[in-house]
Amino acid sequence: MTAKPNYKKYAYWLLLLTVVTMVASNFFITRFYLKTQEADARTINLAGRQRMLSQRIAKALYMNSLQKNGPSYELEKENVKDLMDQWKQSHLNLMGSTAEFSDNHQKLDSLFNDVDTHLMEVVNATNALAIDTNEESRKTLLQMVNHSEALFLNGMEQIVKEYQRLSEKKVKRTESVTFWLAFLALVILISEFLFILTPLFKKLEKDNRLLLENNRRLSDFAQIASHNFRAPVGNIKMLMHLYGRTEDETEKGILIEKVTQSTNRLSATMDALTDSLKVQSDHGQKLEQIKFNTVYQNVLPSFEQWIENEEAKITVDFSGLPSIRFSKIYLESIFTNMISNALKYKSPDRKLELHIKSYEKRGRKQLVFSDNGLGIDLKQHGRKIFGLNKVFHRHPDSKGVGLFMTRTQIETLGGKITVESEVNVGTTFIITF
Amino acid sequence: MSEVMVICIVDDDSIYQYAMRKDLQSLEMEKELLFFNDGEEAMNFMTANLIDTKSLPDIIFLDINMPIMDGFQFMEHFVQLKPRLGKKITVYMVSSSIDPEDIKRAEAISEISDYLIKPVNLGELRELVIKLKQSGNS
Repeated sequence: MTAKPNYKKYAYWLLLLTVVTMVASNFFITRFYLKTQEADARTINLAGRQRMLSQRIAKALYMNSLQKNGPSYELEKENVKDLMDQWKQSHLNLMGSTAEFSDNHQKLDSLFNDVDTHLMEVVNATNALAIDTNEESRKTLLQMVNHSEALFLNGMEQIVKEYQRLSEKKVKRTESVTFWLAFLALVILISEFLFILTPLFKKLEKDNRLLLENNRRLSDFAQIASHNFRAPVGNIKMLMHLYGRTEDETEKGILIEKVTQSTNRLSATMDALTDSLKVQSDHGQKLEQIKFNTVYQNVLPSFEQWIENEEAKITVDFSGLPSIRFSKIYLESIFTNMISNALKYKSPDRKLELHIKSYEKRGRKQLVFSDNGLGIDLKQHGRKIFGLNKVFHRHPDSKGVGLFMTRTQIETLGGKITVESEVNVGTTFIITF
Repeated sequence: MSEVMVICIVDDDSIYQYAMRKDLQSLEMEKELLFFNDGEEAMNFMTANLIDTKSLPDIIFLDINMPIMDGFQFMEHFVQLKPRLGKKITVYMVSSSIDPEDIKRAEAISEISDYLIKPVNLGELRELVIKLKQSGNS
């Protein structure tokens, strides 16, 4: 119990941190992979451009050989030179980006070695063409260029394919990384919900209920205090008013006697309220596992004479739930109040039968006192039955303190007491721990 | 109104009953005092004397919190009984309860003339009785 509040305090921050980390990591990972894919696309584009350039060179050379010494021959020569430069540069760029394309680029390197050779063949042949004027050797050179360019294109084809394969592999990896991240996030969120939020909500709910309960009890208390003090104080006031008016000594004696009675009542009310306050603030009540039967046997002797006189029959059955974790003093007080209530409000028409039973039903531990006594009209008195100084029968011993104390004791320890009753049939009190 | 004023107190507090008896006895008029410990006792008396205008009370001081039948239950029966009563009866609710719910409930019952909060001022009570007596005579 003592370690828990600490853990709860950090739970909130842990949750916040998890969510923030998840959102941030998702963002950065997505960004990283998008960037990689962008770079890959650029490299593949570069390779495409590379092939295009080589084809333009071949085409330009072909045109060139057709024109020989035509008017645009020099121009085409310049053009070819230009294209060659671009091509070489582009090829260098492409090779440069291979390393960053993949860590595992041996295959790419060997492919590039091949392609390099053909590129150099094309370059050399083209350069030779620029100075050679012999028709025959030019033809051979052109064929060489043609041949090497085809090999070059073939090699580039394979390189692009390899690029494609590597890129697809990366996409697959991205997919799986994203999937596992989402899975991890889900697992974290679910466990946060199960182990942090749910207990937190449960605790809040419980606290809220306790607060409402306390509020109701306080409001009850204010009503009780007001009502139960007003009555005797009012009486004393009236009696003293009469006292001041009367000359008769005997009369005065009677009035003083009545004032004393009222004072006693006032003090009894005060005791009851003090007791209930004591119970309510008594958080240190020792809780222990108590056997119902032990409590019953403890309180029974004080009722023996009464039970005998009334020829009452009390039966008990604690087999369903032999013991409970509760305050021993309170439980004894509850048994005393319940038994004396049953005896007090027995029906004059029949002998009292009181049955006390404890059991556990759907996880709820209950103790039930049910009698065949006078019963209470709950429609009329339901709201007031557990209030202080509420009496519902003409009985000289009715003070209306017992049920009030019983309820206070039960509720202080987190329990609940409810009543079912039918006039002239009997009453059942159900205590849920 | 008959010559004799019948004043009825319904309250389970014996000391209150005693003080009321002492005080009302000193009123200088022809009167009869009726005391009941709870609503049921009073209601039994009323139903037994439905047309006996001499015995029926002119004025009732009714408590709320009583065993068996409380003030509000009494009023439920009283409202039903009223058309058959041979006499006009004025009812005052007298209680030490300051629960707003009780006061609202009492105000909602048109048969209740007023809600008096205990401790009642004995002088005030006398005034009420005297005024009723006078209005009956005039």
